[in-house]
Amino acid sequence: MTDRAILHSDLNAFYASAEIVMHPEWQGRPVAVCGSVEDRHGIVLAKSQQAKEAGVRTGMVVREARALCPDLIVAEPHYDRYMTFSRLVRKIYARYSDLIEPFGMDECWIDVTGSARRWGTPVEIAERIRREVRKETGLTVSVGVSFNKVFAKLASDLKKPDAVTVIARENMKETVWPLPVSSLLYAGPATVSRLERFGIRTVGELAAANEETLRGWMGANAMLLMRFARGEDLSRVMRDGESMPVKSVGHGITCNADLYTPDEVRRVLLELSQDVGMRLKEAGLLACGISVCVKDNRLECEQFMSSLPAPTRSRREIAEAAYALFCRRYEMVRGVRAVTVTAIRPVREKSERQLDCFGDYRKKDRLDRLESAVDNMTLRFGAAALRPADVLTNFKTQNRHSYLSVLPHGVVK
Amino acid sequence: MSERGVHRVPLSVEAVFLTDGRLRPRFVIFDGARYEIERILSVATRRPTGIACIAPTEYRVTICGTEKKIYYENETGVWFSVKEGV
Repeated sequence: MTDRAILHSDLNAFYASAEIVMHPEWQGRPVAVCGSVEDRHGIVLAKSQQAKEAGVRTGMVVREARALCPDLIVAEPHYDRYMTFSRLVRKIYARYSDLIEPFGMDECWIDVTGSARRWGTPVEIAERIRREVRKETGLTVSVGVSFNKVFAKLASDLKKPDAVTVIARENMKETVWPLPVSSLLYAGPATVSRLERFGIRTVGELAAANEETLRGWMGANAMLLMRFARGEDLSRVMRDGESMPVKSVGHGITCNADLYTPDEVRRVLLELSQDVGMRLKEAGLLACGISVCVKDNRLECEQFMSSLPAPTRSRREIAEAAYALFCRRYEMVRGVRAVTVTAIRPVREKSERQLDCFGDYRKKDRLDRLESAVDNMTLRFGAAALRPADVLTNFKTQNRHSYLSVLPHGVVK
Repeated sequence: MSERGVHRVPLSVEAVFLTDGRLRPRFVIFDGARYEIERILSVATRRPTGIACIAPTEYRVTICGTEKKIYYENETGVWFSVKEGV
């Protein structure tokens, strides 16, 4: 069997590049796309090459970025425009394969294994894509070419901007193995620091580690990373629309002003639970547990989890459980800046459930019918049509600009 | 206008949709005069350098025996040409 041919295409500094396309006079100047300072989202979302060279980093506060680079052009984000560019670029990919898996707005995997006879070698296809994206849209892409998704993504990160990089089986050991473990997809800071404690710093060292020892140290996820390091990732490129099973459903918000009382937090949790409940319904799922993440005004995060007494998608039950968890575990010393509610360990709505001998199922049935009516109204008239009265006074969560975008889901199975 | 001294000039264009869905310009109306597009030499998606636009279709055409380029931006439905200089 011949190897697969997988491309990973990554739009370089996507938001900043899209802004420069729409403002050609900014070409060659330091540009940063930043969230709204008034809404307390004033951080750098993307930056041009010139801004990067001046020391501007993604996630930096606008004030810091301006201090580092006084000539910095700060642009507001235009998500509708980015969606348009993203759609147009995907249409270019679709000329070469019908197997395209988006990973966020600016990245895609493309399986071109079956396209060779018509369009040439994978490298030739990657070059075509690179040229066509540049010619047609003015944006640039870095394309990684490899025999699996993980190495294709790694290859696209190696040379930027506007480049094609190949990782083949033949050059895998020389190209990939000397790189730090953090270059691998899903090797986050916590995993990297744990591996470092065991003396594993490079991809090659991870690939050469003893399986049993590594499993003993770090469990199944480290085994997955080790398979990635050895080039044994077998995950397939999924067509747009195919999706991985949902592992959690969460919703979070950064408030316009800090929250100082538990009651303010309760109302924000109630508001977030409306969306979580609705999305569980859309996915046909019930949550068996709840997780609450709280970020204070020093940007320190704490996350808590607990099981629910019975699987549910009731907005009210989720909000009550989240608030109880918050009161039980969080010490409110400083103002709360951001809150996230996540429904975890989801099960299918139609799966069998253990009932509670002493539960009031008549009351629960009435509540379920009420929530269904609210869901139907939300589906017909939008999320703002019917809200709990408590939520209407959440002045600290009213955003002037709100956008919903689908974030990349995991490839880990 | 960009610093490179190129800018977009919006155009009025009479065009037809062919039965297969392709869009073909027939006349350009400019300064009150109506100019016939004699030939379409090529059609391609191409962004003219230094112009703010989203993936327009470039039509290389001949008008009054001279080769010209006109662009159609699908996202906005606007026709334009590119003028150099101030």
